[in-house]
Amino acid sequence: MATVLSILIAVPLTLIAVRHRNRWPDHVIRVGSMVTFAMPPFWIGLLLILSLGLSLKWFPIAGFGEGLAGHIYHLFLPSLTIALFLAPILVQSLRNSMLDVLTSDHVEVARAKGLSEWQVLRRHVLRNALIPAITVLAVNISFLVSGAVIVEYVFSIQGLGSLLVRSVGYRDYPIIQGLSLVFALILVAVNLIADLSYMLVDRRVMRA
Amino acid sequence: MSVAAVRQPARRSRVAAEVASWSATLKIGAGMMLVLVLAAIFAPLVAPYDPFAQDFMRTLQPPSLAHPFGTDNFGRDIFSRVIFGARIDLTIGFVTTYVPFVYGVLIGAVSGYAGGRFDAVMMRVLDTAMAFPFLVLIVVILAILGPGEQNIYIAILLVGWTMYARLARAEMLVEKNKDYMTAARVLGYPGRRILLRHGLPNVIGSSIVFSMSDFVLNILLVSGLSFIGLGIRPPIPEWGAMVAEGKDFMLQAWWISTMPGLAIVYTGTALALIGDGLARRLGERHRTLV
Repeated sequence: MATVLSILIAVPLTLIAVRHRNRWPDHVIRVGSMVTFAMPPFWIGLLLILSLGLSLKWFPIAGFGEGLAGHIYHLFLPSLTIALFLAPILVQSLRNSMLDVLTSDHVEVARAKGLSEWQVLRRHVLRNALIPAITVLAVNISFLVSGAVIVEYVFSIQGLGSLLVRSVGYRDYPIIQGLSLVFALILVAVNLIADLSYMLVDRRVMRA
Repeated sequence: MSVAAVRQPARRSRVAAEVASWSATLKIGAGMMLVLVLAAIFAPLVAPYDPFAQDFMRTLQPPSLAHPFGTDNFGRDIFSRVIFGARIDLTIGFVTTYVPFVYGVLIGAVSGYAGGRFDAVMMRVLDTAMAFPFLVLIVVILAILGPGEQNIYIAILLVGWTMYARLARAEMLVEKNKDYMTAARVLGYPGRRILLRHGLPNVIGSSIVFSMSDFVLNILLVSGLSFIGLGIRPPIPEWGAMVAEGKDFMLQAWWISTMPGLAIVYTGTALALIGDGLARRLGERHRTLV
């Protein structure tokens, strides 16, 4: 869910940045992503609890909720916290690879066909720029899991992360061993999914 | 500034010319960092109060002229604690970034250059280390060794080199077959000299750029560890631990947690700006995380 949110934040922002490359919206988004990258997840979490949770009372501040809708509702703030950490990395890598794609010939052809700049970006540049971005995303799942461990603690969610922290507190070594293996398995699985998803984005990979 | 610099003797004008050629992001980032480093070095002079002095008449004071960042639940001045915290966070961030940087780049460069069995063994070690989420591995090592500053160093030094080894190896594989390397071999230079004097300067760029992002990540990591109680323990003023201390007082006193957090954001932004400036200066192929 954090991944979905970070993609939802990152892709439109990148499109705007590349559309207005090297002018002020680009600069604002670049500096903004640097600042959010520097924010510690546990700190964003606390501030979100304070502002959206306690002051505005839009979202619950802890717990896991009942049923699927309840889960999503309760997990919104934690996910947003991690997404804010992940999104800047995504924005930057997507921006770089889109700028690379922009220099290739098929973009000129698309422009020559008379497509609007937005259509060129969305249909011809974004799709080709996705593969490097997916790689970056997969690599950073490692950070995402790391973030989750701390964020679960902030929002007191009963998850694997808070179990890990608690068992470290009790020096429960079998649980620590098992959990680190589970985390490693998750990471390997995510990398596999990323490799497989290249095929969805780009059919040429299948033939290779 | 540059006019005055030209009239100075050669050495100073060269430094000034170098600074003048920096991009705006690099200048701002370096300036922000310089302020922070100076504040950390001269912490006893800059900080208005003793970071450990408790004052029970003035607990939970909101930010004011006397206490710019307010006071915490023991009446300690948060501004002074943030300044002293800069010492700890910057030292840990620096050591945990640049010590692994040195041997990570060396391992990567050697295994890219030498190939063969050494390369195969090192890369399998690296794959294993990278299969675990970074923080989970650190937490596990800390669980075995116990919390504390020294053990954080040991834990991060054990796993922090992987990214540098990977970057340096990838670059070395490209550089190895370029003409100047062949020329050095034809001249009959020993392998060590080719590696250190010809190869290394050309493969180190992307690692330097990445080290800026890594510095930020390490500061976030250490403060995160302290936040969950596995890192620096209170009452030592460490930013993450301070955020954790203020967590229970969020409703009455938002400034206890917010101010140390802002200090982390400030440091991270400065480093990210430097990284961005360096990446542009060293060329397009070097990229930061952000």
